[in-house]
Amino acid sequence: MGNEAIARAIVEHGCFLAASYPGTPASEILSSIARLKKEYNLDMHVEWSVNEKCAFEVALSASYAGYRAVVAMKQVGLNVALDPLMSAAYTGTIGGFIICSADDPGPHSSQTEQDSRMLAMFAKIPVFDPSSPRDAYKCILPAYMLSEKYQIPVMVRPTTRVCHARQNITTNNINGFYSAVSFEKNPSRWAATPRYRYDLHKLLNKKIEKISLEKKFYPLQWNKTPKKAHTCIIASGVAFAHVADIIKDTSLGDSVDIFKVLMPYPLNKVFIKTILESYKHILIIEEPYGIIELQFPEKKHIYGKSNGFVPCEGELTPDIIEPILHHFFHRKKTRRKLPANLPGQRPSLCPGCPHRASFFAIKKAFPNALYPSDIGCYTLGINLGVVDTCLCMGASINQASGLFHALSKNTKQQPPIIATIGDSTFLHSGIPALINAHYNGARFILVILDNSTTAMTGNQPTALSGIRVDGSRSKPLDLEKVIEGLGIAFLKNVDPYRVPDMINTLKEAALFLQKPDGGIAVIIAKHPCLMNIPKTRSPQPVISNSCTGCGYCVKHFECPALSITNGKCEINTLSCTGCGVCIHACPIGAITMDN
Amino acid sequence: MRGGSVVSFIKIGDFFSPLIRSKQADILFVLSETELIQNQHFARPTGSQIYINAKEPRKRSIDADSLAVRLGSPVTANLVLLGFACAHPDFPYSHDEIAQCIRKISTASMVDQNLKSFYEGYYSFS
Repeated sequence: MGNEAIARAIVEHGCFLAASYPGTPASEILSSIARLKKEYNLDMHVEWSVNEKCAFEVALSASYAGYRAVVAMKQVGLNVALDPLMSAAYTGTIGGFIICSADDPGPHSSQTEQDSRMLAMFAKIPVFDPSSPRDAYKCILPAYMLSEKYQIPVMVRPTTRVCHARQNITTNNINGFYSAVSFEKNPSRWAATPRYRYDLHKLLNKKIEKISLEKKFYPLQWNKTPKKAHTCIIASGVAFAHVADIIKDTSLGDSVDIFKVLMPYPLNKVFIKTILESYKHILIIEEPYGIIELQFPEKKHIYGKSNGFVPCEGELTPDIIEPILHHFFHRKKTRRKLPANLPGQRPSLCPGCPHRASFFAIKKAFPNALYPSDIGCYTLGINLGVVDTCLCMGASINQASGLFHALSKNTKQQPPIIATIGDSTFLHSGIPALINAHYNGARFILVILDNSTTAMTGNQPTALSGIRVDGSRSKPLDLEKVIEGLGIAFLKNVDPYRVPDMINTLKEAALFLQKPDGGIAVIIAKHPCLMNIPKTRSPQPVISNSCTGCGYCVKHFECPALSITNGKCEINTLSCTGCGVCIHACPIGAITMDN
Repeated sequence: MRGGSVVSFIKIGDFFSPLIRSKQADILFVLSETELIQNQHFARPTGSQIYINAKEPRKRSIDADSLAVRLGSPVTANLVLLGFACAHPDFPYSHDEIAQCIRKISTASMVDQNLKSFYEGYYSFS
C-alpha cells in the first residue's frame, strides 16, 4: 500500500518523530510507522495528535532540535495546520522535515478537491508529486536531503490512488536514527519578530530560487522519440501513470516527448525555458489544479486547464485522459460515452451503531429543530434527516452559535438548535468553538456523540480511550471535567441505547435553554463503537404478527438489518447486533424483544 | 459505516497506473448484483469473463451469499465466488494456485473456513 511504502521509507531514513491526525486517504501512514516502531523495537516518538496543527508543531519542533521528522495528514487537515506551515517556511528547519499531505481528487472522501501543491506554492516550499507507491517510497530520501540542504520544510503530496494502491517494492534496511542532537537557541530565527521576518522572507525567496535551478529535480524525459518532436506532454502524479499506460497501449505518442515531473513546485526554471523554446504543442496533465501550468509565463502553446482542454474538477481517471490525448494528437474532439453515474448503494450507519440511536431520539424529541452537524460517520445522519449542515471539522458548534444569533432576534418562534459532533472531532476543534459559543451567549443543545474512537477513518484511538498509537497507556481524558471547566451549567451523560432516557434528557435540555439563566446544554451520548467491542450473541428483537409492513422503520431508522420482504418487516439475524433500539422505532410496537 | 459501493482494480504485469480503463478488464467479479450495471463497462466487449454473485441464476452466476451462510461464514461469500470462477476452464489460475494463496494470506484461524468456502464454490460449477 502506498501509505505503507511512505511509512517504510520514512522509518528507513531515520525519522525520529512522526505525528498525524487521521484522515482518508492519509491515515495508514502513521499507523504503519507505529507498526514498524514496534516490529523493529525503535526508540522513536509516534503520536496521533489531537489535530493537524498540534501534529505539525510537534513534528516541526523535533526538526528544530535536529531530528528528522514527519507530519502526515489529508489535504483539508493541512488547512488546519496552515498557520504553522506559513511560518515554518520562514524560520526554516534543521533536521529533515517532511509534510506529507494527501490529496483526494474526485473527491472520494473529502469536503474539497483542493490541491496541497498550491499551499506549498503559497508557503514557498518545494513539493514532490509521486506517481505510484514505488515513486512515493523513493522520493522520501531526496525529500529529507533537500530539506536538510536548504533548511526548508519539504512537502510530499500523494493522492488517493498513490496512497491506496498496492505495488511490489524492494525495501532497504532500517538503520536507526542520527546521533543525538539538541535544540540550539537562536531567538532571532526561532522567535523572529516582524523585523527579522523580513530577512527570513528574503532568505526563503533565495532558497526557493536556488531549488528551482537544482539539476537533480529537472523533469525526466520518459520516452525516446526517434526524431525531433514538436509536441510534448508534461505530467505529474498518478495522472502521469495513466498517460504512460495509455501511450504504451495505443499507437498514440510515437512523435511526442513525454516528461515526468517529480517536483511540480518550484518547477525547474531551465525546464520552463527549454520547453517553451522547443515545442509548438504542449499538453499538461496534472490534478487537481494546474500548478505546473501556472508556472509557464507564456500560455500560447499550452493545452491544459487554463484553456479548458483538461477538466478543472473531478479525478483525472484513465477514461477521462484517453479522449484528451486523442483530441490533442488528432485535433479532433472525441467523447467517450461513459455510463451515466447511477446512484449506487448509499452507505448507512452500521447495524447497532449508537449514532443511529442518538439521531432517532433527537428526531423523536424535536422533529423540527435545526441540526448543524460535523465530520465523521455520523454525517450519515443526513439519511435520517437529522443533519442539516456539514462544513468542516468542528464547525457544528460555531454554526449552532451563528444560527442562534442570526435567528433569535428576528424569528418569533425560533426552532430549537441541536448540534451533533463526535468525540474525536470535539477534541480536534470543538473545544475552542464551545468556549466561544458559551462566552458569547449562544443557546443551543450540543450532543457529543461519544463512541471513544475515530471511527470513520479506521478506529484510531482518541484521547478519551487511554490508548496511544503504539499501544502504550495514557490517562483517558475526562470529557465531563473539560466541559464543566468551561463553565457549562447543563451537562448530562446518557447511553443512547436507552432511547426514552435520551428523549427525556433532550427535553430537559430544551427547558434549560429557555431559562433566564440558561445557556448551552451539553449532552454526552456515550456508547462505544461496535467495531471496538467483542461481538456477543445478544438476544435479538423479533417482528410480531401485527407488523403491517408500513416501512416506517426502514425509512426513518435505516438499520441495514431491517428490510421489507413480502409486505412485512424482516430482521436479518446475521447482521442484527441485538441492540434493540428498533423496538422504539416501530410506530405500532410490532418489534419486540424475544425473551 | 456500511453499504457503499467499492470498486477495486487488480492488474498483473508491468503497468504504471493502478486503474483500469473502460473495455479493458479481462475478468469482472460482481460481488453484489446491484453493482453490475454501473461497472460492466470496464469489461472487454468480447472475450471477457463476468462472474456474478446473484440470487437468480444467469450466465456465470452463483448464489454465493446463501452458500456462505450455509457454511456458517457469511463473510466468505467472495471466496465462494472466486472458487466458482476458478472452476471455469478459461479462468487463468488453477484451484491449486489460488488455494496456496489463501493458505498464505489468511489469518491462521480462518484458513480452514476460507478453503472450505473456496472449494464449495469450485465444486458448485457443473
